[in-house]
Amino acid sequence: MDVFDSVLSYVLMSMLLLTVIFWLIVYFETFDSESNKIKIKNYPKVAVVIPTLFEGKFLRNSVDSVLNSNYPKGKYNIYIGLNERTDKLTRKTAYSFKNRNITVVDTHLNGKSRVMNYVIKNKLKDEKFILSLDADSVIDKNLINKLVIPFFEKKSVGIVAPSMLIYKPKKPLEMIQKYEYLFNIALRKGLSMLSTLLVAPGPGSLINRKALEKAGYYDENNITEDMELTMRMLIHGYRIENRLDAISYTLPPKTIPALMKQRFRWYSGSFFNMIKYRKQLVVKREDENIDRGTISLILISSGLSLLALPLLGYYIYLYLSKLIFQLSQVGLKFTLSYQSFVNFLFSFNELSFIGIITVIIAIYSMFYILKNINKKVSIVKDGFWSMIFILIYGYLLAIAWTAGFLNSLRLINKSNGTKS
Amino acid sequence: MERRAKRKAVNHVLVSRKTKLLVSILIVAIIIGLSFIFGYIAAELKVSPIVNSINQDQANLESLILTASISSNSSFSCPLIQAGLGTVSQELSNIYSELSGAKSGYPLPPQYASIGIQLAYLRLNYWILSNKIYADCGHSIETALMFYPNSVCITCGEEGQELAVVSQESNYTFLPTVIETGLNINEVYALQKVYNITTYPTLVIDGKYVIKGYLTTSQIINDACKYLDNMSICNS
Repeated sequence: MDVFDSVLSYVLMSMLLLTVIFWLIVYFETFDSESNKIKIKNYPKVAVVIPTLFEGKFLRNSVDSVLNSNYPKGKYNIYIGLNERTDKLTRKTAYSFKNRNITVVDTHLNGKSRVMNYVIKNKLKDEKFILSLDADSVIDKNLINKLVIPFFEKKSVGIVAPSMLIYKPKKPLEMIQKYEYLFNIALRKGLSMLSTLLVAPGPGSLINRKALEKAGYYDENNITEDMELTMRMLIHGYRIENRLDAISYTLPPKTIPALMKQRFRWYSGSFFNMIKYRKQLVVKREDENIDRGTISLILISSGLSLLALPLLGYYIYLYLSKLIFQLSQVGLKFTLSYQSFVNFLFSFNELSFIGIITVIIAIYSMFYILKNINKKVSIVKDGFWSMIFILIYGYLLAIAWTAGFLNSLRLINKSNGTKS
Repeated sequence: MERRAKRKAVNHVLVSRKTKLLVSILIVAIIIGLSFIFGYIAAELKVSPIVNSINQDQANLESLILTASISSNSSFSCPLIQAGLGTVSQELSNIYSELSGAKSGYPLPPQYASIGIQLAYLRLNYWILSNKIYADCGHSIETALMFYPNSVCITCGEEGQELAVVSQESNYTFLPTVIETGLNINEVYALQKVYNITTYPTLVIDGKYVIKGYLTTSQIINDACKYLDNMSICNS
């Protein structure tokens, strides 16, 4: 058992160190990879499609952010899609824009993807690109200008994803999510560099209209239609790119139950789509823009990460049972003496060195990411919230992650049942 | 043409990823290699303080042995020697913690094998002296010798901790010693034979009473009080 424990410790520590170093090397390249050298003379026409539900007056912020965009006037049209369940206040807000050359489409349909598809298929004019934007999100004034660049730089680009941030975070739960989104931006960019970006988020992604038509529009029965479309685009041979300097902002869930509900839906959809497209994503085909080695690793690590929660529970059980046993036998003996310090120094070995080096590189990576995305770093504030995010928030998400996986199995069964 | 360009782009990504992975593996290998070197150096640095502590303890024990042989069985020397035994007991416990921590790394410098044997002899001498004081000073103290194996024994570690706590609570009138078997020491083999040690942990109280298997703290106190009931721990 001793030897097994030691070997396991070395393997886990080495893998952790490898992961940290690999991603740091990816990030070194990532943040220097975007060019702004391309001068676009003739900006393509863009359709900004905003599906609505219960966003109320916030819809005004979304539309205003597009109207204040630096993208040439006359080169974009705004379409607001009303769901049959869209509430009165949201409808009123939407119709208040009618005089400003904004098309409001009452689809009488239920479901975001149905509304999107209806608007795209029936109302769009000659726009070449579609900017999907949630009604609870706003965009930076340079977002569209930045998102069109990769379409001119590379061939067969299907979607360009933005950097998504939290809209004016104030409360602790919003602050934690702010850091989650910051690290996700870096991860998304890194994955796009490795040709394995599996999700271009709904708020602010720019979609090639032709590619969308070829891939077959949004899946109207999928709970994470943006991820499903991204995977389908990849499978159809399109590139999924990401621009760090194209920024969109979204409203975060304000309570823990709302957050858990949102993540449960996201993770259910993630696992559902990963299981649904597992063969197409992993089986090698010629001339594709998917790095299947990394995709396979992502699928395997997603599966393995499900062990995290039971393992955590097991270790908590082991620790508590040992603690209770000790308390019942020896009593509470808290000794923080000079000898405790000496014992700590004497137990310092090569695993401690590896651990310290890993932590140093991980902290460096964390600040490197924050500096490159935020442009400025406060060691105390950023360090504090990042630590809260890494050390506490992850466990909360692990619950939604595990529950999402179980729900995805139910969804797969349901979808198989519907097919047969 | 487009197909070829696409293929070229895909290859570029793959090569780039492989290069990154290879560079990462190389860096990890270097870090792990360096860590082993640092670990080995750290383990070597720990040797000298542990050996010094053992030597210091050996000297303290020898002076106690000398005091005991000159003036044993006196109302003056017995409390003095008992107090000295209590101090040595604490120091032995500290050396054991330090040595256990130092031995947690790989690879270990060869000196560690001899340190383990030195400590075992020190513990044996301590046990012999405490038994002598037990006999000479009118049974005002009690000794305990616990045997543990050199393989994993979770309950042995637990019982070792409990013994240290009971010793402290008894104001060092209960003097436990632990001894590791399998160190290739003839004296330990002899004791194992004498007390017929087959399972671990096994406790020998006052050099006479053998109790096999794991004991809880209250069981240790009960057994200790069976043979000497004027200890402070027996009152409660």
